[in-house]
Amino acid sequence: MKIRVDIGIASLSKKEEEVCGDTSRIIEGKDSVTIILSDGLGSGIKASILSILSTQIAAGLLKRKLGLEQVFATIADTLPICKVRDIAYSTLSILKINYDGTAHLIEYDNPALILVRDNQLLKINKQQRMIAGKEVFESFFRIDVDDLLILVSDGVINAGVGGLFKLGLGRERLLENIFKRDLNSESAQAVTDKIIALTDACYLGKAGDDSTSIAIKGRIPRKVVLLTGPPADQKLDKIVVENFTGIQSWKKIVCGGATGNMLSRQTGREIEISLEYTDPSVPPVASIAGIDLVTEGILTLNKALERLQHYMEGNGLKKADDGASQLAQNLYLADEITFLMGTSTNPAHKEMMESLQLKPRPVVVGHLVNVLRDMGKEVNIETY
Amino acid sequence: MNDQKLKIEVCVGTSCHLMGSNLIIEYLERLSEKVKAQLDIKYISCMNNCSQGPQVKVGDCQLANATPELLNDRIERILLQ
Ligand code: FES
Repeated sequence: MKIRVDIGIASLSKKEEEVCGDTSRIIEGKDSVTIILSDGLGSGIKASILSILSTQIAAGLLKRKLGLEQVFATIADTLPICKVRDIAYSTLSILKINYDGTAHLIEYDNPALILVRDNQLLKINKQQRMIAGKEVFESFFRIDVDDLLILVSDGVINAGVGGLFKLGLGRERLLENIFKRDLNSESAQAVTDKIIALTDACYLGKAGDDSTSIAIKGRIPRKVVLLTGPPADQKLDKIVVENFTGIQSWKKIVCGGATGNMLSRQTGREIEISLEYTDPSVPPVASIAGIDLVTEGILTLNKALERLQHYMEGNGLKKADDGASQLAQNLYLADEITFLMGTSTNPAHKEMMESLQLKPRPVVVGHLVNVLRDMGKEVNIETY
Repeated sequence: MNDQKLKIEVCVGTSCHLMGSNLIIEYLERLSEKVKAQLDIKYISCMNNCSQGPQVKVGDCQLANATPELLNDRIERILLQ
């Protein structure tokens, strides 16, 4: 079964340290996502640099499609050993989740991963082995929809040591808390925020160590189908509309006035245009029963493309009610997107678009496909 | 009740939008509540006359190249009748 994950990360720096010595990193690939948690020895800037170094190396190697074991070995080889304590300068957990639901985990000196399914702790079969002279735990397992996985640095496990608890919060108490508060049913970010709040409370607000929590939740991939433009041959209207409405999806989107009218004609469902003009540069959205978002075509597509490109340049994705922002938001949240694009053109548009330098439908859709693929999404396009 | 109201349909399709249908909408929004209460406003996604936008239908009469002034004239004339 295909799966995707939502990931929430939160951390806490040791009291009076500016930076957190823990580093976490998410590396998205085409068919997988890899999550790395590294805890530099000690705290503060030195610990931070070391753990950043480890995750940076890992990210680089993963991009070159190296296996987890090789990635780990390379990092382990390059990690300096602390002369005083004779231990490596950094701990490491690397978890790779493939979108087919399989997972591969290598843990070195970090607290063990917690896997919760149906509000029960699931045991993961682990093998102890040596990689690059380091004793690690390796495991292979499957992840299901709604599974909750938690990775924490030892700052969480040791929270409150010598104070609130003699031996710290501990794994057992942490688990108890997770079940008692039914965290299995919450979002990844909510889970991780609650774990860090608990940690902070155990330290009585004066964290004795850097603490990081990463929560990962399995979910079904979000699929969006987007219909834009009537087909060149009107005889195909019925087929295209049936194809569109028949596809199982998370969201169905229609972009285009004539497209909306075609759908309304074919299905007998009424189209109603909203009287809200939230952004004067974007025509208003409409509604058709059973369709999640109905917008105007060319302008909205061009504006949504602009918003996504802006996001890819490192800016935030603005949340707003206008059609283009809603479209961009839905595409951003999607994992798989199918464009059903008709090639009929409106002669009145052509002239105007040329003078306004707007991209015609096939061009703007082409650009959208590229941006969305760069974002790591699976994108298909069918033209009629 | 709706039957007695004056029906106004504004095309907000791509061409009409580019030709200024948002100005028409702004104008309609700025009308006094008293006038607004006499209108039944609806947006349409295309009125099939895209090269002469903005298209606005007032009652049974379809205006091409509509402007707020033109529309204001029409509305006044009909409501004052
Ligand atoms: S867009 Fe207004 S008539 Fe076609």
